[in-house]
Amino acid sequence: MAQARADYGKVAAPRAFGGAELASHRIDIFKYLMICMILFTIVSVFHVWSRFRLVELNLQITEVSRQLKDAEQEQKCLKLEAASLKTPARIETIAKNELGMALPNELQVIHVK
Amino acid sequence: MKDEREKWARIRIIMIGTFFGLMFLMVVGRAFYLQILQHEELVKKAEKQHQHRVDLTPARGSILDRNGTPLAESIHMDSCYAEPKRIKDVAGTAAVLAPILGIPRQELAAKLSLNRSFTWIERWLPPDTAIRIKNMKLPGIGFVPESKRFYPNVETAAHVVGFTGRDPNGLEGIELKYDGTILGNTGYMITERDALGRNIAIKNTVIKDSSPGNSVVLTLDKTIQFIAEKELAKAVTESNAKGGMALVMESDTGKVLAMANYPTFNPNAYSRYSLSQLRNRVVADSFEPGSTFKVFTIASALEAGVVRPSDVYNCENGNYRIADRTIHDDHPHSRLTVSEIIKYSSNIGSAKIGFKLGEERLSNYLRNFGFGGRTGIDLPGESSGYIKRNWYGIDLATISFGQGVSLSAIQLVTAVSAIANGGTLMKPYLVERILDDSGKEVQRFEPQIVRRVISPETAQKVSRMMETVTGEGGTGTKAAVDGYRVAGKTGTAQKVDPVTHTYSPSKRIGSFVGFVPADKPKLTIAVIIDEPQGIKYGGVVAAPAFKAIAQNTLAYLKITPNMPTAKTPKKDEETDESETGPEPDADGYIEDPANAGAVMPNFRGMSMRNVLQVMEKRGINIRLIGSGKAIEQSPPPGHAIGGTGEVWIKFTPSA
Repeated sequence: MAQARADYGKVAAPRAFGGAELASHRIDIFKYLMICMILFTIVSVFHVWSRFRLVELNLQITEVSRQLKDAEQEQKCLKLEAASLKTPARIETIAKNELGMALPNELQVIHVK
Repeated sequence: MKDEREKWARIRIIMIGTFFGLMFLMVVGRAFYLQILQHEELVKKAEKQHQHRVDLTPARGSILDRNGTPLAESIHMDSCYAEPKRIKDVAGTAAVLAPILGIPRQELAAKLSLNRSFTWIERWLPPDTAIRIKNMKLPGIGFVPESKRFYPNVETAAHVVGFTGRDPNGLEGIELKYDGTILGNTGYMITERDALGRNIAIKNTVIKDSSPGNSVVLTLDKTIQFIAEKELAKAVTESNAKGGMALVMESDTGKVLAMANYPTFNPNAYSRYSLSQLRNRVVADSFEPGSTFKVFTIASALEAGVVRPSDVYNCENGNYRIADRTIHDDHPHSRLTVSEIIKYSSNIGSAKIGFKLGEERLSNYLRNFGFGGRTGIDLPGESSGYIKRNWYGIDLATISFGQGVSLSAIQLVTAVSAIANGGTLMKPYLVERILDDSGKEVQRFEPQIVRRVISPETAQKVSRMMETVTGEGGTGTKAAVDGYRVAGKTGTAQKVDPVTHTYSPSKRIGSFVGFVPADKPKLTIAVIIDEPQGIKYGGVVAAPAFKAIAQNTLAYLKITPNMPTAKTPKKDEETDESETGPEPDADGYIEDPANAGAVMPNFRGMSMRNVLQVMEKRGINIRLIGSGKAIEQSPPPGHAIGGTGEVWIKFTPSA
């Protein structure tokens, strides 16, 4: 038995698998994996966030473009209104009827060269 | 036991491995099927779901006058439509919309009940109405932006500008003639949309660009057009006429500055008017010119060298028999020079000159003046007028004084412009420039010479003769403009009765055509009054309108008189109490500044009108600053004017 123990000592009391050396390796791998996972998660989250942000910004651009188009349309309408208010016929009517003005007669027109 | 456990573990490993392996193969297979085999089809399907086609309707270009004032402009307005199949509560929707749209509820309900997927409710809604309806978010009610054409000047230049239909394609005038230029091309854009159907801008891919319509800048001037329309309307109304036409053209270039028709129409609501009211009669209608035509007969005879201005003709005391017909003069004369034939508008004298010139030569000259052919003006539906090919009997005599031929107003003015500018027939035109949507010039139209018709010497002789018409004793004295030399010719033509096909005893066309200033012509103006009542002479019904148009246009264009005016401005004569300056102070006030030589008068306290009168009298040029009463001046009163110092007067409004 004793002989057997001596002969098969390693079998009777086997050394723990990997030992202290292997255990430290395992921690390194675990750390590495953890870092990778964290990085992967961060990248993934950033990617998703950036996609959302992009869509959001695009929506904002669309909204601003719409506002610009509306403003341009408004400007066009105002120009049109200004043109209709500046018609000579309207101005003459207001000048004559509301302001009591009259067209100058020939004697009132003085030509200065 | 141990072996059995190991075996079971191995089987489990194999089973799970196989399961995952199969699953992996399935995923790979499915991915292959979707990504490779079904790729094209699925991409199309996906695009359909998240891509949105947006039609890019180009904005129709503007029509502007020569100063850039818009005469026609397009804006987008919301049109309201319904999808009846999506509307569940027809009665409720109709009840809500009816009062806002001003449509009877039953009518609206009937529209909403139609068995259609689309129907228009109201097109081109005012913005506030559209917003009110949009805010209600009614199911089955939608909006689509549509382009609407507006004419801000309403009736001004309506016949020239024309109008568009709902499409919006041009239907008349410049809108029709330049439709291809103004309209532009429709395009479309593919946009990507999110799950909520909102457009995502960044991935917009323009598949086909829409090309916006170009803007057209006319030669017309809004103010001159207004002057012409106003005076024409006044002339037509005062003579109780059926209608009238007026045209103002730049004599040297053929640019049309104003083209007026009366009665006119509002292009914003053209459907309310009859077709005859929509027609631009200045280019589309031809009429017998009457006496205005004598100018061309005499110009042709002078150019051919068969007559001289001083030649005398026997005008037969107003009655001249040719073959079986008798020609009459309204004002009988025995003997008249060629110049007087124009001045007194003698039919007999013109007929005799026509005989001397001969049928062939007269016909050729008249065609060279542009009669019997289109001028090529950029407006649709131009009439070519009519000159007979073969002349019989007394045709030569009647054509010589403007009977038996027809012409359009644009032909008449173009031909008179040829006399005004020294004998060159110019092509009349209305479009000066074409601009792209950013305002950059794309095309410019320059004056075009058609041909030389008469020599400058002949043109000058005819011009002098035409000046006598507005001088004392002439038939067109009412066309004389104070301070300017005016050359013109009156015309009173009988109209052909459409029923009897003979000359109507009562219907006339009174006209006046001329140019001003006669010594250096700038403007050729024609006024034509159709069927005036009472006195029908062109010199009575049309000449005053010519005068008013000429006077106002010359003032507007800052063309100063080159003749002494009849008026003698006297200090304070025409001014009221408030405008008269206070009594001048003693230091250096010059009682009569006209006698003061080159010494600066004391203007302090004077009104601007008084100052202007002094300036006109003295012929001095002073810079006027402000308005009201003169408070400060340079140089001071009594100092010499001239040298390097600027001469100015400052005004301040009186309390």
